[in-house]
Amino acid sequence: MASITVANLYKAYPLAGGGERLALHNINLQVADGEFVCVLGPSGCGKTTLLNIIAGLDSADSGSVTIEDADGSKPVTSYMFQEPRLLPWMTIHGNLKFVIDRGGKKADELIDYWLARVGLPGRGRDYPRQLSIGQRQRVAVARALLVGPDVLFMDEPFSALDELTATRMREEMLELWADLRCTVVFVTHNPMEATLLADRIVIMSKGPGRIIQNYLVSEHLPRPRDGDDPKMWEASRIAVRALRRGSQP
Amino acid sequence: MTRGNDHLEEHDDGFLGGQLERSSRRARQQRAEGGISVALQVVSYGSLVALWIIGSQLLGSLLPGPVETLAFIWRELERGALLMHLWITTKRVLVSFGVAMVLGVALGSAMGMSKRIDDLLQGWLVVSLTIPRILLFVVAYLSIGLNDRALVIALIITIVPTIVVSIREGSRAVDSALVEMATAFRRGPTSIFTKVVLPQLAPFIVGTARGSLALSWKMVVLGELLGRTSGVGYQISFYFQFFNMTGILAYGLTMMLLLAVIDQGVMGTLQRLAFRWRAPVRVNGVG
Repeated sequence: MASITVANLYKAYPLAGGGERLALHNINLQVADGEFVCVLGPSGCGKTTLLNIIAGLDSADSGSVTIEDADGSKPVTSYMFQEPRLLPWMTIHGNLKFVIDRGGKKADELIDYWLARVGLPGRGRDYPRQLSIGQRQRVAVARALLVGPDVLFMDEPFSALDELTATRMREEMLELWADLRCTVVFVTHNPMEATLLADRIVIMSKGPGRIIQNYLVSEHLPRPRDGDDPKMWEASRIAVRALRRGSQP
Repeated sequence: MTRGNDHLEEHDDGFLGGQLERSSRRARQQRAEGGISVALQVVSYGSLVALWIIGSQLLGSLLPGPVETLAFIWRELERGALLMHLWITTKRVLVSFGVAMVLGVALGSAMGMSKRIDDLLQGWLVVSLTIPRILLFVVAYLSIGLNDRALVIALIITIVPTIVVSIREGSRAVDSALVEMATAFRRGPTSIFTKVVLPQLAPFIVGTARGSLALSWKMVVLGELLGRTSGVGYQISFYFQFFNMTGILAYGLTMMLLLAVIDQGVMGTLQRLAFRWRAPVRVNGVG
């Protein structure tokens, strides 16, 4: 497991007509070992940019990001995108094998194990196009977890799914996370989803993107949580109110 | 209750019956479409042969007919000349084509993925695309000598720019989201290129390979005609000197047939194998 420290982070994008637009303004964030943090904010507030910078897919203009493993080793990170992003020319087995370094029988066993864990046993020989969108996203869950991540980055992974499938996958995700206890940074614009999943919600506002509140959900709502519990709705209102405050000029 | 079930069964039978009828109608329609397609192709090739026959009847000794040409091909086959010259030409084409493909794919992908490399090689590409091809053969023969090396080098320079242009456009169309996914999982540059980029370039590679192979076949004849003493191009040049139209047609026709076999047989099969993951499959997934 690993912890994340983001300090004094700034990011700007150049504008077509000259000048630049500040996307992230002085972001400071700490994520503890094994913590499940949701970054919640309206569209265009820079939450995906922040996630990509932490994950090393984008660079900041200034500031620092440190990911440290508790035992001093190099932390393993993993990413789950909004879309499954599977390689269509590879079978499901091939897609999963692509992200792991080891080969042979052990790799095959690991892949079979994770396919079974996400409810797709025996589908390794299929191509992505043979699976439904929900099943492809399950493969993306398997791919993200089979590398044994210390840190898992998730960018609105259930937003493209229908609500029934998304609800089921959130529950399954929580079960898997309860087993693995890796550090998670989860980006979403859905306050209910954030409240259900997170230990803590980091609320951002836009223009430029900045953190306006840290909301410790676990203080209001202990785990395990039930999506149908009226307390969930009450707890999510705190996040909604913070979002509204942030969007006021 | 019973009435209700009966009604359901009747409904099911009707539904299934309708579905079966629709699928058999679709199958009949597909068979008919297939038959029409074959017939049209037969008409297409047949009209060419018919035009040849009519032309040979009208022009007399100026244009030998198919029977005369095939008889010449048979004689050349019997004395071993046809196969020998075909094999020499094929070797030249395959070597040039292989080297040109490797160079073209490497340069094209580098230009497509890096603006700096694109800017750096832009001038070379534009110049090489505009050089008259015959000039390349003449310059190669004059500077290197009348040998196979000059012919192969001129052929490579002729084909590479076309491959580069196609692959460069293909590289620009690579899905960056998949590259980002591979980067997020800490895959190395080699792995990303071979497993993420290259498969996306495959349609462009196969497409340009078919076109470039056809171009190589045509250009090699020109190169051999200009400065070699073997190969199909040389044989055409030889029979030209004797005004032997049958010999010219025989060697030309053999080249055309060989190219068609390679294009449809080898390249077509490679294309089908490379894209088998695209084959329509039944979606049986839920939720």
